[in-house]
Amino acid sequence: MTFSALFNRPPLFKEDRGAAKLTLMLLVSLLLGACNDSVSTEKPGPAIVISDAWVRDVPPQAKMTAAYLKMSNRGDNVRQITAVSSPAFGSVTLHQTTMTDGVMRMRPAEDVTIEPGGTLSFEPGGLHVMLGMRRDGFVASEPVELLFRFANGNTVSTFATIQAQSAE
Amino acid sequence: MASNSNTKFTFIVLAIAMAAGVGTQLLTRDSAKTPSSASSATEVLDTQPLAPFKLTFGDGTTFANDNFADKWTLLFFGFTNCPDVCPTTLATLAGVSKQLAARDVAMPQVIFVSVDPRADTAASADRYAKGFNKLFRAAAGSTEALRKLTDPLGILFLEVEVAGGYTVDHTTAMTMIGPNGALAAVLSGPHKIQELSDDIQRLIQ
Repeated sequence: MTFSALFNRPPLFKEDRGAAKLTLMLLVSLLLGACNDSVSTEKPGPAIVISDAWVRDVPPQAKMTAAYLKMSNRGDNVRQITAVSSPAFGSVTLHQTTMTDGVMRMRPAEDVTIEPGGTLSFEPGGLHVMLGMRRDGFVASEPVELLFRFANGNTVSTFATIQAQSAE
Repeated sequence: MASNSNTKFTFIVLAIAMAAGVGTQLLTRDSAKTPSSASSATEVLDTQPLAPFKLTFGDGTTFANDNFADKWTLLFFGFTNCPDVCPTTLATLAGVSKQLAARDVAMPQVIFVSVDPRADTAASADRYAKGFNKLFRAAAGSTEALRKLTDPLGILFLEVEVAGGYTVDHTTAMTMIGPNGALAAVLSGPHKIQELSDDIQRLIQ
């Protein structure tokens, strides 16, 4: 099964705030467009946009934690994540949690791609960035930098806040 | 989809419970009694105390059936190297504890049971659980000792080799044990603080 097939499953969580946010963003951009005489259809800014990044605050005894975020592809090409790294952690990998009849299965996620105009949600109980081997000198209250490398050679970085729970 | 998988899960729990010889009956609530908010709880009418089991608490004392006496207990099965679902659930339980305290409802005792005998000791699991809430406890034991508790509850766990190591597939549902030492409810995920607090309050009152 290819990884992208996993995204066709219904969301694990009932609320789909991502879709609502996107709709709102589209409405706002339409309104802004109406007030503006610009005829350009070019989308300025970076093709990959990461938002709402956070890392779960876990007790110092925990060897593992996870990062969650939303990643949008505003470009015209399919983008593939080839590697993720962080200066704060020695082991950083993409993982997918799936639930089958109430049993949680967590596996390394391979071939994670994002379609043009698409948004990937990294969320608890789903796709996530697994963080292990916390480096010495890591300060628990400071945001964690995450670097995503893509197949086209680009790297996109973001800073994730440390939180006990999802803000949603 | 969520209710469908809950139904499936309930079926499996029941099938396993019945196979284990535990008389289990589903309480079907009529619509008038159904709370307005979505419920994650599947109540179980089970008066038969759980079969004897023996695990070890983080402080070295024995965790056995008599630890259920005269109080409500929430059991959650997981492992300390779990980066996603286990910390999510323990953080949610810490939230439930605060929510119930604000409502003046006694929080059931929370026991985190490690299903990773290869990596976790009772002491390490206990330190981990207490990192989320000082009152949480943890227990551990051998695979055989664990099965004496997990099988009758319909909790599955399995060590699986993956690139670079292993992981443990496991049931994420919490189980609630009554003061009579019998299974009272299965609380299926994904768990939300508000919903879980409502369910627990309804079950213990």
